[in-house]
Amino acid sequence: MFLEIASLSKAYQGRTVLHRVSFAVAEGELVSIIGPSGSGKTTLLKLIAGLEAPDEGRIDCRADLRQDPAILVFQDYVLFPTMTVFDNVAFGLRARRMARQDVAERVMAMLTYFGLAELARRLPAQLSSGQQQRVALARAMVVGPAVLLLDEPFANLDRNLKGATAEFIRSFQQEYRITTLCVTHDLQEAMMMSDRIGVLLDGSLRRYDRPAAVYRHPGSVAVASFLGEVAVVPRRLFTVLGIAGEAAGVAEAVGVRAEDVDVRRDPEGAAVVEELLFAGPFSLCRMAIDGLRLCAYSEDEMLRRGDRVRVTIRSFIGVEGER
Amino acid sequence: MRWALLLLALATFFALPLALLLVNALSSSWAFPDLLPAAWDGRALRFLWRHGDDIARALLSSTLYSLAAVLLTLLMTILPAKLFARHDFSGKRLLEGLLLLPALLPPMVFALGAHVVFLRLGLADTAPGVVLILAVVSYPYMLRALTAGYQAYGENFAQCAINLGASPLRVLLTVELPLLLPSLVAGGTIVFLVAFSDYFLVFLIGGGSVPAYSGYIFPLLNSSDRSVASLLTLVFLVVPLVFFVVIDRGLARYKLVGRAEG
Repeated sequence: MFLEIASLSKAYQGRTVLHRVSFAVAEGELVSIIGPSGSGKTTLLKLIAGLEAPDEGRIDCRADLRQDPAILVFQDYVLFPTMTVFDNVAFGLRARRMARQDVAERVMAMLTYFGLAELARRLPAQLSSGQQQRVALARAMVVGPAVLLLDEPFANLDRNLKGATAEFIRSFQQEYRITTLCVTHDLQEAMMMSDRIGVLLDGSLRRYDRPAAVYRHPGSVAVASFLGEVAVVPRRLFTVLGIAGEAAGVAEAVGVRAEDVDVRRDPEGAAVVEELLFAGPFSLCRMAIDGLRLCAYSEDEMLRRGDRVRVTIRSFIGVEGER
Repeated sequence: MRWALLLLALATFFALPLALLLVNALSSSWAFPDLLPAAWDGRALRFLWRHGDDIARALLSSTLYSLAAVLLTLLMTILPAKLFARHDFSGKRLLEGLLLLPALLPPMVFALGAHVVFLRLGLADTAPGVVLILAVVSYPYMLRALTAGYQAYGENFAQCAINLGASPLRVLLTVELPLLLPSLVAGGTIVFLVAFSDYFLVFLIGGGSVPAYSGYIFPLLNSSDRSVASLLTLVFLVVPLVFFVVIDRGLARYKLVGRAEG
């Protein structure tokens, strides 16, 4: 593997931020580590970037990180506010004492690639958030890093820009074949653009695999809950909800996602609609069934609060005894 | 109405004293209870013209040692300011308090002790000695301003620059100092004014061999020649005013930068 993170731990003033995190990234891969705020994601990037030292563990890279470093693109982009776009992008090259002509050529080539050539003389404060992000990416890419580290690349973007940005990151990442590690709490975008994703919860990497595999087999309720709303259905309700099969055979409980729940109005149904929240293409339907609260997406516009409904489960998640 | 009151207050506190100086400078006698001077004359102006070289020399000397004091306080305080802004350690509050002492204690307390040391070190009666003593009494203003400056933006700028391959010196010169410039101007302005208007320390440590405008003007202020003293006081104001205008123009760019995130 190109980049190997082995048993990485870090604590601040006695508070563990990362606990024995291990994973590997192949050359040219884009990996996203997802997790809620405060789960240790940014610390992980700072350790890999060499900005902080781990308490334990190793970071091995097939490239020499002192020669071709891992460059971090910060969440707020951290463009130097007193420098123009050109000077920001040139910063890393000038720090390497590259000849003025070479700096100009490489910077302009990078600015042109990122569609920023026209903005070269502007100050960061004169740019939109999306433009600032591209300047930060150009500034990182121009020094030819071994690994590109992206800290919450979607955090400062409007909802409708996030998808396009994910596609843009994926396209330039593939074009440059740059090994990229991104940390984010935007699940959809991470899944769209990544070769693999890892779920970091409370400083521990709980799951690491292809996006589809992580989503379909989260392995624990904690991971599944982070990926979407999940109800833990106890064994006593398996028959009522039609949960059967080998996986459910010995399980004490299974996890059920809202999109895997079918709801039909039925006066004889076992569940009662408690709440309906209109969410555009569907309504979020919260139901109670024998003491359990279950969530479903329904397109039935006739559904009302207090209706009795029949609930069937299309698929469920094995929770490995964890609650 | 509020604007009118504000204008009145500004006029009372700023314009009126200047107007009084100007009237004093252009009159030969202005005694109570006259509303205006009994006689006008240009004697003070003629004095200024006659002693122009001496005045200019004193003004230049004061400007140069005051600027040198600003530079020295910057060098003295830049690293402590970063330390105070970025790190927490036991005894930090106490240390911060102790470092403010020179601004709180009367300069004489410092100067008398320092004078003996400066004599031994050969710094007495020298320009470097004057710069050093002025820096020692005025660095707390710079320290406070720079600490606030460092606190105003996060550590990320320096970390980002280091990650991009910059040396600590390059980070300081190309990233941190430009970001600190507004704070540096704020602290530097006070240090400059303290140094520029100081009379006692410059006289004691400079021993008369370092020309000082405050030293030039002081005897005139004590004399009965209010006309010349008033005009020279107005001249005294010119240097800081010129600096303020130059700095304000220089910082115009920062009005854009000011919106940048930290």
